[in-house]
Amino acid sequence: MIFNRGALRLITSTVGLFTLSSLNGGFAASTLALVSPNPDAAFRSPLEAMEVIALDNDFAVPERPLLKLESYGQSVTRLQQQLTELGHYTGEIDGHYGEKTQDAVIAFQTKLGLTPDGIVGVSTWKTLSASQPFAEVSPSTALLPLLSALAFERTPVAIILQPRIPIATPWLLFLMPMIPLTGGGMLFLQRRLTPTQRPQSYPTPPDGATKPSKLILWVEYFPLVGLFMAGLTAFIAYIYFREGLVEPIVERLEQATLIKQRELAHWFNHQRQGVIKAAEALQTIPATENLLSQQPLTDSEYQDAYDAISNHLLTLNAFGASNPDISILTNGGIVLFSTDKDRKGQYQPLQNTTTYFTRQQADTAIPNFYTSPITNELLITFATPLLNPAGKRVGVLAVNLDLAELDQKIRQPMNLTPDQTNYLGKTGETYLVGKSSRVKSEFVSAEKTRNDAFADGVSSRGIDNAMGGMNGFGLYLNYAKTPVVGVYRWAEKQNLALLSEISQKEVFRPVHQLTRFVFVSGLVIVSLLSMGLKSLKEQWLRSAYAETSSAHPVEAKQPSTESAHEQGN
Amino acid sequence: MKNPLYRRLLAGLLPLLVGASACRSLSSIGQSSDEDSILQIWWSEGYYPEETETIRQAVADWSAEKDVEVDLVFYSEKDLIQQSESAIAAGHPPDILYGYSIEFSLIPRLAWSGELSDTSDIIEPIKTLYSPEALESVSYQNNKAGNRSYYAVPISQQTTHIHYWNDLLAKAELSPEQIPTEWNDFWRFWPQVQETLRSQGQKDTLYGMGIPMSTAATDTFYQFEQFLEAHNVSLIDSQGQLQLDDPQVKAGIVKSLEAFTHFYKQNYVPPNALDWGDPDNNVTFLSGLTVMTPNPTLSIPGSQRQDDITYRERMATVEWPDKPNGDPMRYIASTKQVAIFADSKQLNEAKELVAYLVKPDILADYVEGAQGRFFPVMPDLLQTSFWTDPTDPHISVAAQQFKSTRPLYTVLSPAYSQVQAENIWGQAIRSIAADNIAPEAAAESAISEIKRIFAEWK
Repeated sequence: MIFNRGALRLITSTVGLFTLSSLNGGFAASTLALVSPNPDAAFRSPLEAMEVIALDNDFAVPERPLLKLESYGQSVTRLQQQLTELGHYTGEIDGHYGEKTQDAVIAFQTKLGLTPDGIVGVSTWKTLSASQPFAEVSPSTALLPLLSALAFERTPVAIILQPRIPIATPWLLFLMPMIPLTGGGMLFLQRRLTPTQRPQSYPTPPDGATKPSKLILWVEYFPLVGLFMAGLTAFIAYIYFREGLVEPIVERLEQATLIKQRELAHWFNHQRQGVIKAAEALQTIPATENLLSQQPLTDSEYQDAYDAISNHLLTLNAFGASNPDISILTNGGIVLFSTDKDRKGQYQPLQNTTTYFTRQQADTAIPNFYTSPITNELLITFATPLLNPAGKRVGVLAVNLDLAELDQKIRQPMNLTPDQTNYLGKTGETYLVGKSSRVKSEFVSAEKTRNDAFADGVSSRGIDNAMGGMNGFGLYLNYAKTPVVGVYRWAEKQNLALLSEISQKEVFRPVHQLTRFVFVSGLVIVSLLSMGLKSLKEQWLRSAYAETSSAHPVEAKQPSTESAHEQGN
Repeated sequence: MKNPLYRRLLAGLLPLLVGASACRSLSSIGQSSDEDSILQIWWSEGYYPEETETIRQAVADWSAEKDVEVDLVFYSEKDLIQQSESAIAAGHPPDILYGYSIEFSLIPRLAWSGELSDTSDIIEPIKTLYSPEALESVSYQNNKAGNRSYYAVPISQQTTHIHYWNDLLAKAELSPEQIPTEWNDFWRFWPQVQETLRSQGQKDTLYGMGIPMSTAATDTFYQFEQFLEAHNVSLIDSQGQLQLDDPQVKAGIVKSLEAFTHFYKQNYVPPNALDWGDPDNNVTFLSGLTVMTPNPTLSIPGSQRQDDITYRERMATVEWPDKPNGDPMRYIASTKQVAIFADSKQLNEAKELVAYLVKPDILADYVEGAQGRFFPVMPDLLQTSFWTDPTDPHISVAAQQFKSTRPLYTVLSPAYSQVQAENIWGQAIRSIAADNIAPEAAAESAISEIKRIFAEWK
């Protein structure tokens, strides 16, 4: 009895510990996250513990020293190995940062939009480490041997652990230790509530006979305790290895976001230049002058002006692959010409809705994302004055940017590795969100259907934080309530939020697999040991009974029957 | 295992083990301290380049004269609000903030919580130049300091005007003289114009009225409160106390909600008015898709000022009709104001700049640069021909309107700024228009929300 109570206290204190520690402290976040059956709570909680980080604050990493021409050492060897794997370096891996290595570094930097200076600093190291094909992402270098050992092979873990059967969800992991706990609890309660009917679990040793070792009492509870320990081990393994997976994924997402942010800035600059180029070209042609003259044009005069301007724009090709709607407005914002003919006669505000800039202010104008009340389209409109030779504004050139192209550029998967594997895995996506009204954030997209599914706008922890001007990463539910690992950035100059996210299901697949492996292994070991211990116990009982019955044949009869009865239960 | 020490050890080790693996050290975003030496000014972008350019020039002149580096950033109004809220939450607001709608929602709250700098020293020397209403509008209670003082500086003022297309009226064979001045007749007039024009073959994209029904527009509550004013509904008494339990007030709210949303429900307002932002009734009206629209500034005629025909002939401005009880309308006027943050690292420079911007000649240029969109708050400035031209079909009407005004409720109670920040009336209106909620239910819901806000206001 003493032991039974003790064992139960141990179990309950351990369970209590989980509950208590869930209420405060760092452990709370991960524990709650894993035990809650509510997916929302499950994936919000860890974020509390791993909230915002400063992505711009580069930090010194000892194993990633600054490398440049004529550097020597193991770091150079590692650099050469990584560059070789990525197909940039074909020279000898000798730990010497020579010209060939420098060329490879420059090639790598150029490809990924880094400053091609041939110097390996924090950014280049980070980019390198994040540039492995997605399938080979491992929890971390430190964890790899341990994971490989658990998998009985020294092969990259993610490859071994490719799932063959559906993945255990986190709440199932919580259930694992709960099953034996509940079983043990019920067994204990049954015995406490019905003490008189409780069968004698072992023969009462007669006076003078050898008392049974208390260790033998473990045998009865061993399967339950063993199951609990197996569940707990799987549970701890899950948390531990899951954490290890987050960092490399976040690093990769950060890198993707950084690259896309550069593309974003480049795209907007290109549009600004296009607007100015088009304005400078159009303001010099007679057709524009005719259009903007105060005299009303006849239909044929208007058509001539329209054709001349259209042709001029076509020849100019100021926007490259982009296909924006280009309009010429009066000083009062009334559309006189537009590549979208329906817009003629409509009003386009010169400012506040429209992003208006002069040639000098082009770089500082902050793009405004808005919904057109005429067409209900999401737009960013750039505008710049059309000047007469005296430098006076005679009209305005307004350009509805090609957001479809921008969206496509941002969402386009990145195939940075030689094998063309998507940099962000199967579920990875990068997208833009803007504040389309005071009360709504929406995808920067020309595809209406993308936003139609979200009548009240898109929202997630990542989106909301980024819209609030924060940069960071986290585990959260995305706009579609899918748990993701995400990196979010506020692109201040573009007035848009940029997010890169990968589904947690994909990221944690290896861990789920490993956890199941740990649990199943534990289960097998516990089962085998339970059977072994049971047979040992029976052996002991038989020998004890034999001893007792030879000394006191009559008294020993009753316990023996009870023992048999217990076995029947 | 009987030894409790074992159990305690085990109990202590487990969370340590798991916790150690679960926790990560994190750092928060840092902001560059270099920015401290630059005077940060966030300004709402004008509706016209001239408006923005005037302020840009004034700031540049001051910067050159004083040799103070400034960073003047223009945001569209919706982005300005978002950026300001984010920056305030992050503890990095600019030094100076100006927006067209910040006095509705932001400034009273910031003044109340002691986040704004006392501007008495800017106002006192020029106090006599301002109208008393303008000064009243920037006198705020600071709950932190426990005093009432000036916590912003008046720039200009606005009230709500009604514009219509003369040429569309003519097409419907109606003349401006036929526009009724009686409340109910006036609001029945515009649907009739729509019906007539459509029967003449105008597209069904033409609507009689452009009235926002959205939560995204501050115009929604501004226009609705004018409806409340028309029905003589006072939500707050002169002591700043809510009057929402008064049955007459409740009935007035329901009646005003019914009247306001009726136009939408009868298809006399464009369907996407449910989602309009503040500029959207302008765009729709100026694109010729509505016959009339009420607007809380003169931005609509202002935008066409350079086109004489449109400004003087095609477009017209008319006073609101009399109240339903026959009394002449009293207009809700709001004072545009610039604020300086108390934590500004360059408080003196910020104050110097604001004092410079409200010098009568500089302010006159700015307000006129806004094409008459806002009215001056210094009576002397109203004496120029820009404001006194009797042939100006818009400003002459607006000048009449400014003769009978009352301030926003935020002057009586800063808690009301939260009602406007959450656009409680916009929510009620949208719920009636979009979700077919009964006006009585929407009124009840709005009343309980307003009561909640006042109860929570600290």
